[in-house]
Amino acid sequence: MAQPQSQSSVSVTLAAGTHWICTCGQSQNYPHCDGGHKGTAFQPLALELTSTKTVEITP
Amino acid sequence: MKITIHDHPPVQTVQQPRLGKPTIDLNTAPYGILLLRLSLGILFLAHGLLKFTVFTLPGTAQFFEKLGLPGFMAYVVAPAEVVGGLMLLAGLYSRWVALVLFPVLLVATFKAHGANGWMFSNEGGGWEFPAFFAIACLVQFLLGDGAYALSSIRSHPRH
Repeated sequence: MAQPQSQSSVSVTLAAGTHWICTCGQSQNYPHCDGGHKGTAFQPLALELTSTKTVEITP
Repeated sequence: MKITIHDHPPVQTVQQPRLGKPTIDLNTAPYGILLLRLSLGILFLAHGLLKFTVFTLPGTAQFFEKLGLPGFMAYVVAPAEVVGGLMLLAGLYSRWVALVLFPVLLVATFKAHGANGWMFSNEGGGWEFPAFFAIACLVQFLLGDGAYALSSIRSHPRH
């Protein structure tokens, strides 16, 4: 199975709402999805926040 | 892949009360405010009625003129004290009533009792009592209605 391209872990502050988190590692705007997963087996992850949170993402 | 979600610190600090931690016991404070409101209400009502019945309005006007105040103020102050006292007792717009009556007590402090010295037991009554009364009015303004107020029953109908 294809492995995601490695990215270093990041911590971002996200406002309430839906955020698309990159899972393929191709994003130029990591950890946000920029559509770079096209042609890979990966789909972005929808992260829904009801209030502003600090989000730590480790690939 | 692992996602860890932390509470965002600034949101927490915004929700903190201004003094950093709660300084008011919300279970008992409304009853303290109620006591203050009833005390002020009774005092204003009593002093207002005193001006109507014992001193009479012309007599009060004369007293006001002796203090160097316009006599017609008696016809404004006495009804204001009676109506304000009743509104405080009922808990109707308590904070605004207290704010409106505050200047009456400032005048009482400086004009009516200022010359009698500080001690309340002085002849004619020193100004410590009206001064405290005036501050109590400001405190009522800052606190609001307290428990068992008519305003709160009107704005939060029981379901």
